[in-house]
Amino acid sequence: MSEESDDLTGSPVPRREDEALLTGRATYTDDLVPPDAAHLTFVRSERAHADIESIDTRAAEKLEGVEAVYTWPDLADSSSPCVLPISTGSLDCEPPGHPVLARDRVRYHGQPVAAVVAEDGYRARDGVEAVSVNYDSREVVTDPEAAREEGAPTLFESAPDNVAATTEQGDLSKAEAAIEDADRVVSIDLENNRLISSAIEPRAAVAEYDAAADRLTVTMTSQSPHGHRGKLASTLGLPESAIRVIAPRVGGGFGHKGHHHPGEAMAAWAARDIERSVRWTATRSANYLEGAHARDHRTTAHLGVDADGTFRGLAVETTANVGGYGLGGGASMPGWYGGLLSSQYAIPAIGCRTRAVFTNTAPLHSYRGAGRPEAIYVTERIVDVAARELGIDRAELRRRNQISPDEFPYETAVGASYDSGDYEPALEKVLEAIGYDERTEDGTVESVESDDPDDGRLRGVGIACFTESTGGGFESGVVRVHPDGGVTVAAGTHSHGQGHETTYAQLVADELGVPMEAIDVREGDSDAIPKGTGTFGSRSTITGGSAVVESAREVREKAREIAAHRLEAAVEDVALEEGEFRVAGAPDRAISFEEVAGAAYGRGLSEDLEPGLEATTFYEPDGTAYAFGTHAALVAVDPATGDIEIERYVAVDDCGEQVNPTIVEGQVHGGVAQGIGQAMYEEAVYDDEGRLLSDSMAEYPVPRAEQLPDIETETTVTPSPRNPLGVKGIGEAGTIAAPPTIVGAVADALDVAHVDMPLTAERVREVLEE
Amino acid sequence: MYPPEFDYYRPGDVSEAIDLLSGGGRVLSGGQSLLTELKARQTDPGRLIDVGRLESLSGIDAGSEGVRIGATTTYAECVDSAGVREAIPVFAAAAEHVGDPQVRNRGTVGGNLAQADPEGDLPPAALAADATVHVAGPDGERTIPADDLFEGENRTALESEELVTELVLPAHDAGGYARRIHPASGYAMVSAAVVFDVESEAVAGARVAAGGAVERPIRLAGVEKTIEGTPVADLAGNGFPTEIGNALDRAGDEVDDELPYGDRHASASHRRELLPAYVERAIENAIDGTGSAEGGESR
Ligand SMILES: Cc1cc2nc3c(=O)[nH]c(=O)nc-3n(C[C@H](O)[C@H](O)[C@H](O)COP(=O)(O)OP(=O)(O)OC[C@H]3O[C@@H](n4cnc5c(N)ncnc54)[C@H](O)[C@@H]3O)c2cc1C
Repeated sequence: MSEESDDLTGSPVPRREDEALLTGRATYTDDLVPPDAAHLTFVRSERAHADIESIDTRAAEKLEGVEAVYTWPDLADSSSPCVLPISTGSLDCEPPGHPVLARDRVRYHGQPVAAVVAEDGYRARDGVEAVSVNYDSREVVTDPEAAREEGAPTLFESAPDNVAATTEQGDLSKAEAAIEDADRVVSIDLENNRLISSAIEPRAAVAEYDAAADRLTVTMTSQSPHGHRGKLASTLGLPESAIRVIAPRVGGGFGHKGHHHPGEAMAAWAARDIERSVRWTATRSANYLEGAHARDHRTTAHLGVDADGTFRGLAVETTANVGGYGLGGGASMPGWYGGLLSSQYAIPAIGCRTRAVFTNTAPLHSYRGAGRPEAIYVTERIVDVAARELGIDRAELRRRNQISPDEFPYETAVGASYDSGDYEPALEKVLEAIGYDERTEDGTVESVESDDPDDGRLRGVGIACFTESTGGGFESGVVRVHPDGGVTVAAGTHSHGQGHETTYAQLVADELGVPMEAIDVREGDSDAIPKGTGTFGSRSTITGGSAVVESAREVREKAREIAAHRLEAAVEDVALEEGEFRVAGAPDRAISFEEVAGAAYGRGLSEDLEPGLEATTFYEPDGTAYAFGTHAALVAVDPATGDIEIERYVAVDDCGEQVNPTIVEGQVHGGVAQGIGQAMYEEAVYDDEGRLLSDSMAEYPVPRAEQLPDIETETTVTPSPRNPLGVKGIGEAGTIAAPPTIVGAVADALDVAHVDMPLTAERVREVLEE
Repeated sequence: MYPPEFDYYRPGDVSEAIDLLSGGGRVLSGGQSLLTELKARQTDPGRLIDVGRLESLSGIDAGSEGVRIGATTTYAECVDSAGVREAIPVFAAAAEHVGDPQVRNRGTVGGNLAQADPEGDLPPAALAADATVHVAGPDGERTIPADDLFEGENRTALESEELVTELVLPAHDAGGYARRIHPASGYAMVSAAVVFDVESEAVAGARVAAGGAVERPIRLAGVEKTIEGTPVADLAGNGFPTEIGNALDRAGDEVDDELPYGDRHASASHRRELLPAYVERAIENAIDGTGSAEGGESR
């Protein structure tokens, strides 16, 4: 990245997309109403585990305005499999995928059992009420540990103990031996609470079928249009070429708009069946019932540590809930969660055994962080407990074990290859910002100044270091220059809050020397854009950004050749400066970028150049980029009420080079907000009969703006050597760092080793009473 | 979120509304509770009688001895009314904490009392403020003192064909409200409302009500008795006199004869435990004239 100050890249350019989004002029899936549209709604299972004895749809079918009522036999009679694909490669069993409508059994509360298509939403809902389903209940299990026990009800025959997969990462026996050798063993039991994605916009789809062309267009809430095209093709038994997926504006994703759920598949199937457009928008409750939910880990960990604080080994056993069906890779996901257990530390031996367990709950899958928050939470919590037991300051213990900058690339004991890092400066920056004062010698752990330390509240400070794996897989990036010099940039990623319209334009503007205004960024159309991967896992700037930059460089080279020909100069003598191609040493011999663009499509090209001025890149990074940082929080706990106030929250993040510091800051803010949500409020709860109690926003507490502190952000910059931009991802840092930071602070305030999330006032009061 | 089919009526005056109600259906006022129930298809009344735009039911009339508030007056109108803020600060403070700006601009005083949500803000405030509810029905008009209005969770002394027309609240010298926000719904998980006059610089005519921790708002007689006659100066300092502190600690016991209210976010016993802290805050708010405070969130 160039050091020149007039570069757009690296500067806090305001987000170009915001005006349309904030003034309500942006178009979302549900805004789309084709003239022939019918409306789809589901009958959802009232039971968590039951055989379906019969479904009576006759009354519903007779209702005025009801076009069709479907149950599994209708789908089974079609040429489409109608089963959402599951990746079973890393599983120890072969469970079936999730049927679009329940086949003969339901395995979680809210599972779609029948579908009603009607003239409008009112009729569809009337139809839903008129369908009656007879169930024969089975025993229910929602707890992943109980599901493994002898005598627990079984969900799938091929997994009699409900264990979908037992996976080992690192080397558990080596880790256990190292722990035995250590001066001390520190242990922790913890739960990572079950969460539900709460994007502002629920999932939605509008399926339009062109019978003449036999082509299906599905406009939907997708983070990954090409990914969804493939999944729909598999579920519907159609070639990918027969499906076009459009993702218009999407109101947040966080993972659950990358997965494949019954709604969009059913809408697409029904559109083909009745040959008219079908709209479907999940209600908030439907979205919550269906998931995907996330996290829900139970973990026991042991850390071997010497008296001087040196970490020797870390052994981790986790039981992870994967819900009632595998959804895509959802059941395999826990199997790789341990990849970040080394956090920022040189731990010579790490082992992690994970059991992914089916239960009668909504399927689980990735949610902002996807395994990373779970892993870092284990390590950062146990490091705090170790500090407490050893009487070593928490910051000092971390400092002593941090991997030093000269050890990179660093291979962790759990198989991650860290690209680059300089951990201590971020830690020091946080400590300084929050006023952390270490006095290890006199036994006082630390003290932090706060506004009014004498108000009777208990003060605590939390620190968490983390690493984050970012940017896997390939991505497509197109740069197309039009004859008038305007530029279209397209990528296979999808922006639903990430600001690609701004960042990609910044990157390409710098490469081509054109103003940002000349650049139009397109995403979200599987027909118009070459096959891409999508946006998740903090990958877009690394992969999509690099792809569009490489295409822009190719375009610039060709433009330079065209310019050289037109200027009758040698290519080496021509340079792009201030939007013009100039001949070195002859300042008046120049041709503008627009003129070159026109020439590329007109006459006057040299014979060895083809017409056109565009390039397509499929870029794949040279390996994972590991972002990192340290966050700290100061909390005040009111012993009378159990209230927790976050008095300060300081985030120091390092995502390598920053294309746009404002967007980086925004990503940290959003992530921290969600991390605080997990730490303090959010939890999806099922009752004993497997009914989801947290089935609306009045029951599932997503934090409100007034419940969040002012988030202070700072950064350090350690470029990644694994991509041409030197960037690392930043999308998930906050959800990773905030939970251990907040829990550490509250445990410190309460003077206990650990408290499980969410830190409700009632839980805080219980701890205080003990 | 599609409600079941219903017939919609917009009566031109109260008597037409009463006539319509006699034919069945439910009163629609601000719709901030009823519409959500309809959309979730938790209720299917068949008929809605919309009184929301009846001018005669809306408005605030502040006189020297008290304030009349029409049933369809919104929370926002109460909060914005200098008359309400000065004469019955407890009510303005409670109204200020209801939901969010959208809800406060649509939800109405009459609807809130008729809804009688255990976690509603206005019921304990109306109770502490000694409000009188004016009601019109097929048999004419009657009044219900707030002490007799609330019978249980979503249950009041109102008959189904009756309409709340207005609320009359006597002026008081000091009033304070404190509530703990419900972590999920934002309603009042625990609330306390305190009202008193100041005579010879001491508390007189104290009325203290609690909500959230019980199925219906109740008065805390023990707390009322203890603060009665206490010099206001004793309540203004740091820390209350011992016997008041003790009475506050027993506030939880006072709800024991009632049906405790709780949910999985905050059990009944937890709410009961929190009650003293919120009664204390309500008293403090009454004394310092700020009227209100909210707990349970990062300040
Ligand atoms: C997001 C959200 C947050 C909220 N938060 C809070 C909160 O924090 N605190 C709180 O107290 N409330 C809260 N509410 C509820 C809100 O205050 C409602 O406005 C109130 O409960 C009902 O008033 P309404 O005018 O909207 O009545 P409606 O919804 O129109 O009616 C409610 C009930 O009262 C009956 N009714 C209405 N008017 C009359 C009348 N004049 N006579 C007889 N019966 C009548 C109706 O038939 C119905 O049964 C919230 C609501 C929402 C949607």
